[in-house]
Amino acid sequence: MMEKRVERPFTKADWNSLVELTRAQFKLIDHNSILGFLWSFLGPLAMLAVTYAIFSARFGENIPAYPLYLLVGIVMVNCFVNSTAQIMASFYCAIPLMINTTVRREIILASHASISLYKFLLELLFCLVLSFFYGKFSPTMFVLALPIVLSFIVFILGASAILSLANCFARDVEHLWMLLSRLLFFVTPIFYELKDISSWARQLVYWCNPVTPFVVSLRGLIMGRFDMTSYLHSLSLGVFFLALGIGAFWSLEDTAVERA
Amino acid sequence: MNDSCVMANDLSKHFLVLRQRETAFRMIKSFIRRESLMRKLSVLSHVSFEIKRGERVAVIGKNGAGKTTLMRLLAGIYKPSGGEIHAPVDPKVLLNFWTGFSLDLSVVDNVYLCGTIFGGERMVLSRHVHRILEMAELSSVSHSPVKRLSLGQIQRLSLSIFLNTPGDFLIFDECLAFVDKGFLQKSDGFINGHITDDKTVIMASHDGDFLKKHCTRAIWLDEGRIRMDGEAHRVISEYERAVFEQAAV
Repeated sequence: MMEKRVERPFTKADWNSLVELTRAQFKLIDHNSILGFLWSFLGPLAMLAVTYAIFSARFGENIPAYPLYLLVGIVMVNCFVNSTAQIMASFYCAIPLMINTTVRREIILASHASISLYKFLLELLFCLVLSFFYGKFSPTMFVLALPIVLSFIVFILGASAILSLANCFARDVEHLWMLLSRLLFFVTPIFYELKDISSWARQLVYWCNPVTPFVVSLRGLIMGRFDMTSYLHSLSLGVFFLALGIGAFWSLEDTAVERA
Repeated sequence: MNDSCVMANDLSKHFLVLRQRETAFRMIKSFIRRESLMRKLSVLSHVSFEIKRGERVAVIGKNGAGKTTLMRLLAGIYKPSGGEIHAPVDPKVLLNFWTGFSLDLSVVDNVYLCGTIFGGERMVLSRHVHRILEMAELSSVSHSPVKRLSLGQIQRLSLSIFLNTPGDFLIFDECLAFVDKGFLQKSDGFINGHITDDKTVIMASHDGDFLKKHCTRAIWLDEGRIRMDGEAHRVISEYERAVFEQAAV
């Protein structure tokens, strides 16, 4: 019986394809315009300005370095929302590539994720600069933050894989996700603290929204605080979503691509 | 020379096609009511054949006969619904000449991109870029975006990259539909010169003369089943006669 492609070992040719597809993605953003890239970078800053202007008086008085607090939340939620939406849409658009070439589908998914994740890392760098500016930066916390960043990236990849498959089965998933993901800006503690909301809302926001533990733990570390519960929670969520994403992808990719 | 390159045994493929547009709500409703939103469409049924290493095989048949599906199965892109395929060699496939191109990138960038998709390496491709562009007659527009090229030029580029990247088992489908006679002659020469006897080739086309010139064997697919399998000239002539008779009716 012919080997299923995903069961084949990852070869040098696969690596070459990943590099070239990713290079093409990067060339396209540079090619389109540097300004386009700057706009996407200015997006979180514009949002920071607006949220700061609106919420600083109500929520920001008791939060030290409130702009930094806001920015980390905005960057993380933005990254999750944009990456998942973009990967889901690109995956669907790449169906002709999947049914006409032997390129592994996970490579196509990863190459589409590269731009969003690259932008995320650049934005995080900006957060670190701001953290330094506020005197919150600590090398120990920085080292502790690296596993969380990695975990957040694999969490996004896992969630995107699941959403990309779902979008092949039902085309309105993309639209439903767009609606749902907008709510994330309110059900994630971006401009408020968890202690500011009622007990039941806190439980809901923390346990039903998988982005919250990542935001709480990474923001804590960038602001010089360490919270063991959210730290471990984030790491386990990353591993869980990655395993779920890979499992779903490998078992459903053939059916999804044929159905799309 | 006589060892097997591909063996298909009782191969079948069906797809589930939608009765109506699939939405999340309809999926939930059909799950609750235990009604299927899909119906089964059989594309290939009980197809068996063996292709030896070094054979050049034409796959012919009307549109919808199952040629492309068969090629995707042989390439490992689709999983069979029934039967099995033994394919020890990874094929290099060209099923759609525009696939793999990034239209906003330049012709040269696309040589690297597509070349890698066909299994080439950047270092090796950089040595062949000039030859690929010369063959495609696109040296003068090498830095233009591919979206500025005509359909025929894109097809020439695609074929030039495909034929200039390494591979012992080639599968290509309907690749010469839009090219001019000059390029067709060039492709003829290239196929004769570069596709040596140790390479296995499976090609589908509606150009009977091209297939007769380059293939030693032909498999005629009709409504997902093998209608005839044998010497290329004989099978292709029979197929053309049947098509002609059907058109006359």
